Amino acid sequence: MASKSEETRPEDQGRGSPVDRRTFLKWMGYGGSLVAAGSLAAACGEDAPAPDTAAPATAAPTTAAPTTAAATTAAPTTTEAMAAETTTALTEASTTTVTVAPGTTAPPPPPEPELPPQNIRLGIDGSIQNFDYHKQFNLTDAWAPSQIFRGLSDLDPVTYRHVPEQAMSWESSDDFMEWTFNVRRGVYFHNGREMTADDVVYSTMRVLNPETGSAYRASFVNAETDESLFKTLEATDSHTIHVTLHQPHPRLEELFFVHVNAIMPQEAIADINTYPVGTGPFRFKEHIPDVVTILEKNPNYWEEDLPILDEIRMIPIPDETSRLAALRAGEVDWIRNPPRVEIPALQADESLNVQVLPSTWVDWFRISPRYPPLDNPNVRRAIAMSINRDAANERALFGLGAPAYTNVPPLSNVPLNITPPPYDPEGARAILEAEGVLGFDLELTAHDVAHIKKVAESVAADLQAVGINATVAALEEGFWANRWSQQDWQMANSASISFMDPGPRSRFIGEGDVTGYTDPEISAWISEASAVADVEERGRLYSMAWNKYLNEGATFIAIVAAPYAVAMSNKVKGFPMFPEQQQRWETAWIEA
Amino acid sequence: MGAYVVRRLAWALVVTVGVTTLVFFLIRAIGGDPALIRYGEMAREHPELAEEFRRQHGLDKPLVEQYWVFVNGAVRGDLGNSLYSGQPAFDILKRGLGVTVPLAIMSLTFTVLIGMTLGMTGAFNHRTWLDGVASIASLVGVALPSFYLAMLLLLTGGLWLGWFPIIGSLGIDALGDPLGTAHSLFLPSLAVAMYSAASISRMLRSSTLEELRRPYVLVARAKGLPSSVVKTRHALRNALIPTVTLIGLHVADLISGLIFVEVVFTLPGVGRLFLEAVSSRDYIVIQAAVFFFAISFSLVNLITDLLYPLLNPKVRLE
Repeated sequence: MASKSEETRPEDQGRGSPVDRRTFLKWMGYGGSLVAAGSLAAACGEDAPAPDTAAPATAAPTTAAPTTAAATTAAPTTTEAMAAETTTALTEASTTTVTVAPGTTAPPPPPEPELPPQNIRLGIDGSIQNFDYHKQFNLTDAWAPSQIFRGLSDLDPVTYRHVPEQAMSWESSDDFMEWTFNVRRGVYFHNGREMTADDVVYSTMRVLNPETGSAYRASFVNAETDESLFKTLEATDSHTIHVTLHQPHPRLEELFFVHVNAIMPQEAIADINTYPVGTGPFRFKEHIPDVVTILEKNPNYWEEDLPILDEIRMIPIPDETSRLAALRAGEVDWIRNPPRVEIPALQADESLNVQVLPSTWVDWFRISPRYPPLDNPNVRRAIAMSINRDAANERALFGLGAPAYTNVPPLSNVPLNITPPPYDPEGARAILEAEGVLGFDLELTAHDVAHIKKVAESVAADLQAVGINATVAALEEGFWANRWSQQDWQMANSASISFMDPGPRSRFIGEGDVTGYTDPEISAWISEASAVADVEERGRLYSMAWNKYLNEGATFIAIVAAPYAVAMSNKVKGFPMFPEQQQRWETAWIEA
Repeated sequence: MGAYVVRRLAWALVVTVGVTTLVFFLIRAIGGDPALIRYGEMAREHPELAEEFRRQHGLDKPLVEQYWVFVNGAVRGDLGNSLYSGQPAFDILKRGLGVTVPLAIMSLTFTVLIGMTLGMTGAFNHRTWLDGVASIASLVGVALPSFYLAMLLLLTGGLWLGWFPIIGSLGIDALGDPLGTAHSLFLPSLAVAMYSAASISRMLRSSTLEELRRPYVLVARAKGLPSSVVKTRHALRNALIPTVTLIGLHVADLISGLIFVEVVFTLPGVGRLFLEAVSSRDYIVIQAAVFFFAISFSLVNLITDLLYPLLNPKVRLE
């Protein structure tokens, strides 16, 4: 029988530390002896007794043998999805969507007979505080729930389009006013009960309920009237959901995406924040706040041969240097957001696999027309023409990001054709001179967060170069939120992450413009685009809206799209990267 | 003596109540609405989300009523629930203390051991190379900020030498595995201790040298007492009084040092908890952490005062 001292502590796994506890104690003993002896010898030349350094030794890790064979590319059969009625409207994109299911596009694991223990340790950059996916508000809180819960649709890691996940298929009427979702059979909650259409209806209604306090409720209601988009939402049988809408919605499957509408069992909802029960590939095992969150393989996951990993340990390591040190020391296998300045060096390290992808995280500025001369559209245009986005990318993101002109991510699933005001400092200065405002004072109210503050400093330097007396007021989160909320700023910057579809983010320049700037034509185009299914047509409408907005006195200026970077041991395989930074661990494995 | 301790404990209670009350109102006065922080830019477009959050956590009530709820709960041992995780603040604090208390004890031990060793070495070997080495070590300790030293120790002891864990949080179980805990906390304790140890060594060196020049030392030597006895039983004992005062004061430095070191070494202690709570304006957790800081600082000061008569019988506590 193994004694307690023979058990392997988590931080010992895989470290291969040359110092065990006995050696450590010995050194402690020597150190203590030296201190004591030094003190006494200095005073009276007496020798100090050596302390007893006996200690139990730490045994080698005793990890379980892998139980999972290497997965094949088992693909769910979804060819019937979005059939018949939608085919005329859902053209190229939807065809691609329904023929590719999540997990199938990730690189297939090799069929090696012997895999090392499939336990992975992730160094995450914050503490997980919330497991109720309907109520989560930040990326860190999504880490564990996105493995525990799933929705009817998911994002394809290659096409970035929504594909069936725990739905078999969906279909809509030609006018997108009626939808039918066919729920996948054989999907089980972690408590053993089969998931049914009633669970999807329950989960959707929970998100819609204002008392839940879900940030995603906004996606399910009309922005102007705050009324539900659904006229009816009902389970017509155990695995079919029928939806009728108040207004057309050509992409309703997006509202059943796990990040928006995770499927939860009603009987487990009382404890969902402390003992989450979902249908995802991993189930909750243990959570020690601020220390570790442990998930284990769901043996009843619907997708054959997945997941491959037996266990995931999520370890919060808030400091980025410490996170990288832990990866290099082998204390974790994967980290998010390594120090950006280190990325080129890390990419040259053959023991690591570093991946960088332009994310949907866009840094932006708002200009408030409340404060003259910012009420003058020509002045705002001059500001837009002053900004050197490449310089901001270099200064703040070490060139790893990408210049951004809208807050629609560069890898958006709807192509935009944007012609923003050119970078033209001379032209900007000429406009300011013509308007008689050269040398006016402008405070940039910035988040005091490393790269956001640097973006503000870069923009301030650009503005100073064209004759605006720009200064940066870098504020801590709470102070920034207060001033933002009270509109107590001339020009404020922040950054936000968005989904791949341009719809929600385009609201920034339409009815959702917090500065109060409105243009009925722009709002009409955005509204029209949201009701169109054809990707090209949507792109055309959104492009028209953005181009008019950017060139006729924008109050919103996007600067850079920040990179999404992860670094991992080169033994970790099959981890798909998403610009939205979702985590999908079911296809990942650890190579021998 | 007993009456003195009771009186001081009463004062400690007053200080704790005073500090927590002050922080209760100050943290709300400086601004930074937790609902706005939670919902960010979304709160502007959907104010109903922030309003619901405030309603659920009683933040929409008048300040005096919120304070009454806090006091009422605190008296019954209920410090409230975190605004974000929903967990009882008392449980959060208890978990944090499981890390911070052993870290503070080890740091204080290192502070005293290193500080006294350097101080005595310098004083008893005045104007020798040993004195020079001790003085330089003290200067380096004072000059290096604890967060920078923490990073250096992490990279050398944790990454390059591989002797100590980088992720400290996984090895902390002071009662179940004290040796493993000591292993995990060795570097963080050293990082926290160095600044205070350096200050203490400088104080001890100068006060010991001062004592060694006093007439009673000359008398003791003239009586034929061995040099070691004169130094340790007479000079050092008297020199310790200001040093002990300084150690008590350095507990405050130690607490602030813990905040940075806990972040660098991934230790989920009260310091890191406090830092994260302040940035997210989790009032409940802030109050719980301040409650702990106030109590511990008051108690350390009391213990420091109680040590004086043990070091010098001329000191009377009244």
